[in-house]
Amino acid sequence: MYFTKEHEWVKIVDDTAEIGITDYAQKSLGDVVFIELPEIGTVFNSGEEISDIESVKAASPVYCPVSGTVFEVNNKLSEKPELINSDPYSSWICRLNKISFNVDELLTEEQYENFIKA
Amino acid sequence: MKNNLLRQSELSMKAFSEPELVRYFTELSYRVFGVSSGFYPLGSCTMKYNPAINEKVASLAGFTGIHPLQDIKKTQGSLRLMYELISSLCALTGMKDGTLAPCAGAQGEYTGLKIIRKARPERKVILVPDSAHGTNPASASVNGFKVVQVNSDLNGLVDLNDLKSKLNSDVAGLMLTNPNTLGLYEFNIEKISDLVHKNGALMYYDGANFNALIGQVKVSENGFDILHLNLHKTFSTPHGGGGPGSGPVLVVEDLVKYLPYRIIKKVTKNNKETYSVTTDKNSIGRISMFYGNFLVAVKAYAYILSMGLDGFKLVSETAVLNARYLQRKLSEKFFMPYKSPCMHEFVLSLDDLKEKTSVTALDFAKSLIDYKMYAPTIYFPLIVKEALMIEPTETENLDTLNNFCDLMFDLLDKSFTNSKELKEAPTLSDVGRIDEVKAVKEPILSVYDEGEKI
Amino acid sequence: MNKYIPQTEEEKLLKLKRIGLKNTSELFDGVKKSKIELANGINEQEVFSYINELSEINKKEIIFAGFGSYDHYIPAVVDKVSSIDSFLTTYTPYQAEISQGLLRVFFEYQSYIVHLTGLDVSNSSLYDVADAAVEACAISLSQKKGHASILLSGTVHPNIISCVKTWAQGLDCTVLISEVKNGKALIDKEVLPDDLALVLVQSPNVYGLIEDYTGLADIIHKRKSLFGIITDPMSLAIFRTPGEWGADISVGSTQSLGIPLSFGGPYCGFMSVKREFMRKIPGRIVGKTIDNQGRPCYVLTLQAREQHIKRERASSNICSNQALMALRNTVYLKYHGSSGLYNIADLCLKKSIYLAKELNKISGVTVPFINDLFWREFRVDFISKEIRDKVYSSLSKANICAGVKLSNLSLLVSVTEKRSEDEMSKYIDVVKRVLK
Repeated sequence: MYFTKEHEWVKIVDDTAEIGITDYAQKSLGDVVFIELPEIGTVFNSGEEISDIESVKAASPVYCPVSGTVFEVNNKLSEKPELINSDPYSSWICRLNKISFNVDELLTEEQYENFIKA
Repeated sequence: MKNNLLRQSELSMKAFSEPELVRYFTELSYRVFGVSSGFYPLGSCTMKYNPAINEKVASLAGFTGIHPLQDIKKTQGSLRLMYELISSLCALTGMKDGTLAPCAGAQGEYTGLKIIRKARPERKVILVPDSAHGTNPASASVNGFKVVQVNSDLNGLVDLNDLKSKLNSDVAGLMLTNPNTLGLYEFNIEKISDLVHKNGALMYYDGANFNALIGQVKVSENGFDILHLNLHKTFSTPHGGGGPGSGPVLVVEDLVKYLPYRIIKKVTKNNKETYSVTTDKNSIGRISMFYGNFLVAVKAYAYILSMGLDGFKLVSETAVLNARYLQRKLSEKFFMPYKSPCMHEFVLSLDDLKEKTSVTALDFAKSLIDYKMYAPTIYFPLIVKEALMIEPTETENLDTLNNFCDLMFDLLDKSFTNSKELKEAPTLSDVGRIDEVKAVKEPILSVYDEGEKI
Repeated sequence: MNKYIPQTEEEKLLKLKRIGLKNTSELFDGVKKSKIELANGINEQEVFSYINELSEINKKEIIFAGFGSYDHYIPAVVDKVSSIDSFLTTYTPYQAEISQGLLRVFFEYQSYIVHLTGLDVSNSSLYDVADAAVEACAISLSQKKGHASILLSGTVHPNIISCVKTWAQGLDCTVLISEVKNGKALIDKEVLPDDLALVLVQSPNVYGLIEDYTGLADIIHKRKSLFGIITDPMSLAIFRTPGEWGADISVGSTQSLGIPLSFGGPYCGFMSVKREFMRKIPGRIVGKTIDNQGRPCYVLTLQAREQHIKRERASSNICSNQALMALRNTVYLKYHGSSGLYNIADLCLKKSIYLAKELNKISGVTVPFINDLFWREFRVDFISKEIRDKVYSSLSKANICAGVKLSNLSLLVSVTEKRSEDEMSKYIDVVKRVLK
């Protein structure tokens, strides 16, 4: 699992990736009330806005950590957006395939934790 | 009539008798808090008293009964009033000409940015300070500009070095509020304008905080090229629960040709003055249906006539004096993130208090409600944590200011001794704290969403 | 003492002393002051006389002009309620606990708009119909990646078309205008562009004609585009609703419902949408929820859409709206109810048909769409510009505003329930006299 400075996480298996937001991100947002999911089939470049997460008093964009094509979205989050708060690391937002990425642009768990502390 | 063109579903709206209606709305009106109800220190909103004469003149049949497209010979009174209002606003700001077409401050920004685009067609970036009102970046981006943020320095003012580093040939303009949203005067304003102008970009003035400067400073002399004013702030027209406002846009001479439909001209012929409407071929085009919120303009003009230059000097002076008096008194016990003397408003932070007692800016706001006053603006500007933004305006007398301070100190004490009371406030209003999460997650946005009928 | 600034000299000195200043000019230390040329203030009586004088320079007429501004009768109770001081002088209801009365009003306003338009969700008002149309365009653009086209019917009010064109400047968007056939929109499905984001039509259209959109929603939706209808809420007491036509968005002006002519403003724009666009709708929205003791209450909701939260990522910059006008609409609709509203709309229909028929009988005068269905407004053509202008000025001499001059030969004439038989007879007589 890798992380970004924008507080996303990404799990990469072969040429597919699963993405979500970190525990730190969900805490600073507060009660999540809505998640805008991307459309299946859409192609994203890394760094592009792929989803939008809303709490009552904030809205936060989710930037795609890798480049790829959305092939699955987590519809459970439309019904229960609060899952992002209770279990951020299982609450993936979408899955991409045909991915490409530059490892140097991503953070390891240790690097991310140091980043938050700083 | 072809049946296909007729309403298919039953029209079902209950009718009420007049006494029922009046009692119903009168009861609802008791559960609304206006400037006429009490102290309204809502920062950035300039909640000053709305004079009675404004309403009286705006309800004259010679205004309310006039159609916008009657023959122009028959609407000379309206056109003259608009012309004179624009002239007065130009006198107060140093601008050359303007338009009353924008219906609100945000629409004024939209108009101003269209003008910037037309005047600087190749440039795609608008600079906005990190302390700016949310409408500034939003207006720039809905106009297709890229928004680049300029940081504030440690004193809360525009960081000149950061500004320099962000100026380049793609920058079309800088949007600035002065005094800024921290209530601080940008003492470097002329340097800022110089830098921006040398870069070939334009200076946009967000007039939301003009109450601090009215009658003292013509912002054209600060180097601004375009501005909007909020007649519903500085010029005493009522907010009406969210509108109608009015956001006139005024510009320097070079930009007059870009103003939107329609420009009002005075023509003097044989010693007789008449008013006509024209549009320059370089105009950005139309931005609202007719002449904007005309009746709001009538109210603002009544206020300008009432106050005049001597009155406006007193307005800004008293607005600043009241704010600075509160700032000084409250700074005895509250943390002021920016220590410089404020202009018409100031921001204090409860971040430290929150650490110690868990009492937040929201808790303070809700507690003030129980003492028959509106709450200050909270959580804005974004660069201050747990912010309370306080703008007393010139409307408040010394007793009100002192009572407010006493109350703030009481609440501060209670934060340590009885924080539960603040956490549970308000308890005296007709409802308590509201479940906003439920409101978003299970939206009920009309009576039909709950299976009722209107 | 200034009447609006409650401060005695003594209080001023007390405050100054407390902050360690000697006089008020020190408040502006470091601020470069300007020389300003503006007259000093005058007293209230003088203000009243002066502005009253300006109002009397305007000439009140019997209004047969429409074109986005309609002369309906407004029950006195609407003025009475909208001038209640707490409604008038309150801010946007941010502090919901002391704004329940106003929030309830907006909730009812939203309900009325939902019911009249046959869609699911309404906001609590926008500036005017042109602004609402522009916001509808912005919603459709946010649904598309890259360049997009917006198709407006050629029968949309030209001021709305102008505002949309102004908006589109500098955006990655092309505004197309459809052809017009016999006064109605002609949407040719063969020439719809691939990147179509929105088709926006108007009924009653600029000529007052009721348009037929049978099958149009399907064509548009097959293109993954949005379908928007501009309408007048009063007309929806009689005519098929945007929801019933399959529209995704409906916008319009609520001026007909209790808002005076006022030289063009303040009026009020409405917008309602299908539920799936609930989070795309701009402006303030009121929702019903509960308080911490389970009591039902109202609050501004779905705020994460708005500029004060989303800043440069917001799809709309709107902040204030036309709240007090929405209050007027609510009082007006509660006063009249369904049958009251229907009767007024029906009178507008019948009276405009009557006048159109009478004018059409006069030789030299043609009402081109006389056999079509129109409401409250119709086009009248004359044989020459000179005659049209002579009709206009003759009526003007009789203190009648004949309508709005359209092209060289036409007048757009509007007849509301307020126009009496006498007023219409006078109109007809003058036209007959000129055409003799």
